[in-house]
Amino acid sequence: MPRPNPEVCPESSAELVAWMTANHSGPKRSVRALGGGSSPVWNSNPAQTACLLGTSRLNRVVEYPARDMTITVEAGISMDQLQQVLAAEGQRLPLDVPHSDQATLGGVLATNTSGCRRYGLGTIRDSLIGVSACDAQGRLFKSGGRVVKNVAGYDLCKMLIGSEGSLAIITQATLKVLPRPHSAGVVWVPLAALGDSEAVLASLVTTQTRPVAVEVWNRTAVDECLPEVTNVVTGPEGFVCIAFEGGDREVRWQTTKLSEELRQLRIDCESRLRSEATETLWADLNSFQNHRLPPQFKLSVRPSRIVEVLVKGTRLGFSLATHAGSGIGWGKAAELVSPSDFADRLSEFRQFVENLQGHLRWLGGSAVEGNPPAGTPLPAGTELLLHKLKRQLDPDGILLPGCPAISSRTP
Amino acid sequence: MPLSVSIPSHSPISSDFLHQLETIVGASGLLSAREDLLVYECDGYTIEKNSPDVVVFPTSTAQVIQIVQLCQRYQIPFVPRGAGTSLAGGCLPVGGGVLIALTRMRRILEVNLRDRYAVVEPGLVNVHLTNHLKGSGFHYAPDPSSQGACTVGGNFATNSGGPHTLKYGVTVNHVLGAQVVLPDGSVVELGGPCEDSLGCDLTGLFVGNEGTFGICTQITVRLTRDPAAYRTMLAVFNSVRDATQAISEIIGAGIIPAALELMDQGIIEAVEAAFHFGFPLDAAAVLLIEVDGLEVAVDDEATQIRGLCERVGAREVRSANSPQERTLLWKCRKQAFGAIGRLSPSYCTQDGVVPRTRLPEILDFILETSQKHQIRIVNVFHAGDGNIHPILLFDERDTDQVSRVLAASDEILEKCIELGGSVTGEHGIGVEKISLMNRLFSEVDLAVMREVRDAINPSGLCSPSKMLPTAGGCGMEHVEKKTPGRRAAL
Repeated sequence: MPRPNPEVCPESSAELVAWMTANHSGPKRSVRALGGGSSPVWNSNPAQTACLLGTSRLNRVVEYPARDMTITVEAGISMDQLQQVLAAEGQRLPLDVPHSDQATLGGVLATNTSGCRRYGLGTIRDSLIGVSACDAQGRLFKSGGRVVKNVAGYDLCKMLIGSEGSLAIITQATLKVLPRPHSAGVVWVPLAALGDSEAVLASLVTTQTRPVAVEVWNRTAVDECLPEVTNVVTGPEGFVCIAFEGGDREVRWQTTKLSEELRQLRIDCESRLRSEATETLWADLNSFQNHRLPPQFKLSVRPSRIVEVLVKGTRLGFSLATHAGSGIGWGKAAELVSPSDFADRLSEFRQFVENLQGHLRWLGGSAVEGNPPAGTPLPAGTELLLHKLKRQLDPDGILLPGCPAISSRTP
Repeated sequence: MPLSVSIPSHSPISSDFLHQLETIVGASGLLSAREDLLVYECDGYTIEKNSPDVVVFPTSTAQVIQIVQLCQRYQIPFVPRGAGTSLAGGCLPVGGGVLIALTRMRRILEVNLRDRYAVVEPGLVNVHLTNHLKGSGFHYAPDPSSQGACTVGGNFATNSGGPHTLKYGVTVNHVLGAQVVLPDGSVVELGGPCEDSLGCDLTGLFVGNEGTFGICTQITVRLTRDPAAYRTMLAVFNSVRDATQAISEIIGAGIIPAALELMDQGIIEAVEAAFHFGFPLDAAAVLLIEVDGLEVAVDDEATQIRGLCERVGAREVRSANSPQERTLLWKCRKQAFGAIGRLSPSYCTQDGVVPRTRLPEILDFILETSQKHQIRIVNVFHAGDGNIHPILLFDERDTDQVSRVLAASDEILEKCIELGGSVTGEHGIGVEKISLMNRLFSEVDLAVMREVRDAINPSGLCSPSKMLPTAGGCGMEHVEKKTPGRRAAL
């Protein structure tokens, strides 16, 4: 994925602070932070004319007390680099990130990126224990700390998650990390009809197993990714994939047990174990997000409504890959359609999702020209609150004006 | 209509204000007699006391909105309160005003196992949710030791922890959304049952706000599957250093137990006298270790832990042989503070945190501090998290002991900061630790936090004088700290 060239690329927090301070007291240019530029969320942001401030040179490991299972790094470190450092100590950050060679930790925090294993392992909010950031006035502030349990002061770490660089530019973060598991395993359920997946998903409420990922993809999503992904077991309308990780024995026991549970429900399935190169399994399951043609929209509903969403979206011609256990879906147009037809279909789909008390966010893409379709607006109360925060922290509106994380209104 | 309640002679509130409050909550939902207010003059942090002018007990979000709007109209400060088990003065009505007690808003509004969430009112007692879920295969994971009394709303406000947060995380990791009446009387719905929210993580920002961002009136919490199996062990050590070394070895080996708690000899003595579990009274320390998960996996972990403990010198590693024995072990741990009364007429607990590998250093320092100030200190704490709870034993009638306890407490927390830790892992800042905020955070850090608070609570009427020191002040302007209190603790 091509990365835009930043106009400013500081080598240290101090340099970043100095530039932001000078900008605030001088030209007050709009500023847009750039990590790896790989997130579709980042790419969907407006403010294309703002000065791009790259963080990729802030890529040092500040402190890694491995036996404390925490790490402090600068925000521009790439996710691959971070995971390599952790892997050397048998540890990992439990998070799936697309384009991880390019994606930076700061970008992951700012866009709240996650992948298939969020069902069992949570999201970045569950790992972040401390943060430093520079606001629009050039003030470097911190929140949290370097210990795994800490309730001193407001948790500004959380405020910055998903803020897309609109409140401050993250310069450093401290994370709690976990041991790397040895093995992974999956149970595939090929789908003759998408609606069949509901019985599988509902059975997980009482399963004796503890999956880390529960995926449902429609067939068009599978077909798009098949050239890169060869281990998928799919049916005519897609698949359900339930994945496990841990020690060899527990993964083996769980794949066997779940297969038994499903067969008792007369559901055909196929299990696979992986005791080495487990990362390729997770890469396969995140390949839709990782595809060279990025998703055009993201949606979120309660997990129990995801099958309805899949059926409706498929009927409207979208390819959909969902983290079904979490009610999260990624989608794009599955076929060549005219921009107006696409906009109509997306509008109908958005309405459907909203009727289920969910929301859909448009991320952009080449299928639509001219005015982008609108996503679900922020709830009015939330938007008002965010505006108040923005006015306090960035009264001059320097950081990413019109950011969708703060405002639903298209600039 | 005549008022059915009295106005204290010292109160700044008017009879008109009180009358309107009564119109909102009814006569049975309001207390204003001086003797009734005494109960509400402090929470679990008893050093500082101040009576509210009136206590109200709303039963609905609509009533909370009206109360808050009325307070704004009359410029009267207001403070939310759950069960009042806070250990840092989070519920202290500094400056008086209206105390909004949420204990009558205690319904479980929805349980959805398919989508793994429940919606509850803030006054619901923590353990009542887990009791309600018994047999469903799910539970609510945060389990503060005060869970038999503390409320989910109070847990939300203070981001409470508990023994099992080592594996499962603290309150914020289990909150999906909240309905909050903001300090201006408007209502905001943050997050909800959908796992992803639009915009930034305001739900996460609101957890741990210590009541300064408004009144939480509904909370959507994540439900967690019950573990299929437990293995609960008691490792016995002849020295505290061996026990902390075992903790370091277990974490260093990449094992995350569900809980890893340390009790030293002083605590063992007290809980054995109270509960007769059969703790070895000559042991210097015991570790209460629990692993949970799949039946097929827990034995491997338990065996590994047993080996690590023995390698660093554990003289014995016992296993709980029945669910009853496990329950009793946990009762001993969770009610350890209740047993302290057997050791001393007064005690003072601190809540510092250090990186897990620095536990031997901080425990050595606590011992030195104890000897230096001639104050007995016993320890029971969440060892796996590095969250210490040194308990300083003293007699509050002896002013010299009191000043030595205060000095020792400060030195211990200063040492936690020096070792890269924090002054509070789960109790919160409240009014108790305001003076330490300047040592943990820079002026800029605090200025940004103030701006965040001012964006949400611009009038400052909601929980005034909490968490953040006044700009440029030492942070303790309103508090003359003279007496360490007798406190319960986690």
